[in-house]
Amino acid sequence: MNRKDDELLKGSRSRYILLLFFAVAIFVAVLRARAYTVQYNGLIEVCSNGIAYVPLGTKFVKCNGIVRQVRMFTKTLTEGEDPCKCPDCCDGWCYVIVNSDAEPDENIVYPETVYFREGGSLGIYILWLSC
Amino acid sequence: MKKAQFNLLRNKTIQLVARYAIGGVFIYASLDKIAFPRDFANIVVNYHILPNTVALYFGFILPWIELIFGIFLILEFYVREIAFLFLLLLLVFIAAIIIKYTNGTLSNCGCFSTSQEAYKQNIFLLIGRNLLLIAACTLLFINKAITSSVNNK
Repeated sequence: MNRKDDELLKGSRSRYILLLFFAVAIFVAVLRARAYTVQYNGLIEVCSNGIAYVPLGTKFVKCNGIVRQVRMFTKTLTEGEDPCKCPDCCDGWCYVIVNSDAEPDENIVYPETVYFREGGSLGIYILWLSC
Repeated sequence: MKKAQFNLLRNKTIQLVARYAIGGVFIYASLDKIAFPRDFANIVVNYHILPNTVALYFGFILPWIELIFGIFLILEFYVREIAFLFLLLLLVFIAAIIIKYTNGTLSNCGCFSTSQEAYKQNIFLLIGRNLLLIAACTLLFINKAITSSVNNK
């Protein structure tokens, strides 16, 4: 086999390896999409009429059909935050009022810090979302 | 076609630059989306163009297409086919951005990043960038078409 044939063979081999990697990556992506589709259909709508119950640790919710990431739960609004009620945004954030369960003395809760909780007391929280 | 234009299209340096530019842009664009696939899938859903389920699958699969085909382009594999595919994708992206802009809901386009800091984007910049990439893809596609027809004679 001459040098040119050898180079062609290596090129074909690289191509097939990349194609194989592509097929595997797509297959894994489809599986993950399938899993997330189930999760997505269960997302809580928080901007409709009434006050929704949102468990602490929830990472995504829907606001008027748009998926938004949960940033944090707070107990109170500070001065100047009132106009930031969803769907109006302030610097990429907006809030809705929800029911959730936490210990009474917790003022700020981040979803990523919630691992396992025994039920706290149900109360009104300010849920901050990404716009 | 005039000889000068013909030679410009067949210029190897221009082809190389076009391949590396397009491939590099798509590879770079895919990285954050692969790192945060759910965030990107949510961005695609929020365009409200495709049905939710289709949009979610599209959101998970598209970054891998961008990455792998970007690599193929740089390695000069299937250049004509990938240039055509990227051309179609870019046209779809432009259409989607315009639709969202006219609805008044253009926030994060999800072009290069899924982060919230990327949400303030100028539409003319977005479209202009895509048009440049479309021009480069067209150049590659036409060049390969010319090369194929010359080789077949």
